Amino acid sequence: MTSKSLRLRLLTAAAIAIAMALTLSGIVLSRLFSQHVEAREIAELRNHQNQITAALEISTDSVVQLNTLPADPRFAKPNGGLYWQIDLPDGTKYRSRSLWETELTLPVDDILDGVSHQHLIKGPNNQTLLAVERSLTVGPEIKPIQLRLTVAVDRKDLDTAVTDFRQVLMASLGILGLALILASLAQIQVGLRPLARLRVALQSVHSGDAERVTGEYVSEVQPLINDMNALLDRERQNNVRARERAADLAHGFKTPLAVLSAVARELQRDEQSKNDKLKHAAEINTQIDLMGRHVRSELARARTVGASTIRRTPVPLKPLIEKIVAALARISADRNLRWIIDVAPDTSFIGDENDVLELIGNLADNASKWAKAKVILRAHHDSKLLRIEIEDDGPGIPAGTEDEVLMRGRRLDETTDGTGLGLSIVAKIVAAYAGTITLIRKPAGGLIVALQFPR
Amino acid sequence: MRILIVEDERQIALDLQTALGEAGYVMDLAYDGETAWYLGDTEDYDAVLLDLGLPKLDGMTVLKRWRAAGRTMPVIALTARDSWRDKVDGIDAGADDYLAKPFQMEELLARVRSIIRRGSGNTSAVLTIDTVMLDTKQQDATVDGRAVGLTQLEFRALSYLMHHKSCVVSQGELTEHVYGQDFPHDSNAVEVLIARLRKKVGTTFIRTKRGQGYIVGGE
Repeated sequence: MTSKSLRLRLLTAAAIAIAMALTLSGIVLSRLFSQHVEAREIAELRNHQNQITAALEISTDSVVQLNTLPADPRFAKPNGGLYWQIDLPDGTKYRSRSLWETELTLPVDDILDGVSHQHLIKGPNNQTLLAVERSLTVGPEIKPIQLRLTVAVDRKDLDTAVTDFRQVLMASLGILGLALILASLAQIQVGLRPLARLRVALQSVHSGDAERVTGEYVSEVQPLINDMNALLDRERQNNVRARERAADLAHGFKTPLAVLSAVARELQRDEQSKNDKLKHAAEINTQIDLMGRHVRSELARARTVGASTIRRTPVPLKPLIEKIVAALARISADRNLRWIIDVAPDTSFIGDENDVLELIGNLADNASKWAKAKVILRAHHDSKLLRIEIEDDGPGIPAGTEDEVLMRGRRLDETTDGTGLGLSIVAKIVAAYAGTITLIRKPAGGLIVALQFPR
Repeated sequence: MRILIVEDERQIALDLQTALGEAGYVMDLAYDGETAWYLGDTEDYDAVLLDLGLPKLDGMTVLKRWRAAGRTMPVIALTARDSWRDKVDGIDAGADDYLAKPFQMEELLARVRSIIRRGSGNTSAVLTIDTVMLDTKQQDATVDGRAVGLTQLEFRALSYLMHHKSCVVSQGELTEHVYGQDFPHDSNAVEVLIARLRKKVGTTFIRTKRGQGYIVGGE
């Protein structure tokens, strides 16, 4: 079906089904009717046969006679449509008046005594006759006569009846079909009404009159509406956040730009000593670095996909962590760090692969910068939680400063590479997945960064 | 030490050239991927700074081709793309280190020193052989704790020889790594340079292998 209209599709399907059902019942009904009419006609013919048999009179010299003629007037009228004929073994034939000059030609067959059967034979005017034939043995026992009694009726009447019936049947079935199609049209109209309502509701969302799709819908459509509303809410939140971020970024640039312009004015003034020039260059570098941090942080945030309600594909962590470790081991090849990976093969992160790569990459990078001899990466999940730990044996952090370090990590103006930007990006990704970060000091020195994500 | 700089942004290339020159390296420059690939494939470098976004042939492809052709010189990938996906892909392609733009020049110089050291199996910025100590960061040398002033050319030659400790370095090789593309027309230039160096660090420190070249350390 190429049509894209739901209404047309439903209607076409209904029409096809109705047409098929009605055609089938038409065929069955007309067949049943013609069978019934034929059976009735045969019963009638038998009846005539019995009457004629009863009226048969055989004299002692074996002359066959009918003492009364059958009552039906059609027997008496030439070509009346109803005929009888008696064939005697010697070739003598007694016939109804209706046969007039002609006689019935019966197929040659053996027929048991007293049994009757039917034939379709040619009549006086070459019309088709339905004939019932019976073999009878009559007369005195010493000299019985076997005769054949045939009663036939013109099939035309029967066919006319069937044709008439068919016409009436077709007309009524046609009307019924039309009524059914109209009914299904009405049904489709009523059934699709929620969709029409939904369209209006969506239009008002589109035009900004409404924030979400309102109203109660049938239970088949309601889940769709709920999903759509969730999507709309998320979109709106994202929109608000994007605007806030754009504003943040712009504000973050304002101060460095002001400083740079001050430095430029300073440079325009009088002769500058070599020392002054170096000082100004350093100032310019500081501001560029600060702006670079803003840009990088914003880029990292722009890359973060976050926990989406729609896409929830599990990312296997073992191959990913192995990749990160291979990369970091190569970068820090001269330090001979020992990398220990403790990750079950089936551990997975539900979300975007690049997000978790960024997450573990940054933390492992930090750990490798602080580590003395080894870095351990662990990841395990159960039905409720995914836990990722990155441990190093470096200097660690002073007791009681865990929260402070996390807070500091979120600020951008922290300059120590490895604690500043990396942790700030990690914090944002973790927040996007509704996870938590915990810093655990190791008594013997070293730090564990533990991440937990709901599953 | 001879370095190939591949960077299509002329201003950045110039900045890198100046900074690396001040740090005592000899450089070749390539502004596009095809030139870079050709130079890296035919010349001998101690390190390569490779920008990944290049015209004609992108840096990633250049790197993969070098590695496929068995070129093993250390490569630092430079790129504005700093996601871990890019980092992992770059290192997969054969980079030894990865530096996101914009970078601090000190950071870049530290990475270059580290990557060259790594290639020669050293772990410190200060190389010591016998009584000679060479500080690759400060570009100066001491013999028995006594500072000896080195010119740029002398530093380059001594640094190359000390990074290739116990290996015979031919005159041609030394010429390439000390002078780069500004080949001296005077064929005696290297001999003169070595003679000057011997006066500063001791005549027996740099030994001559007849018909082969020079050697430091070993035995």
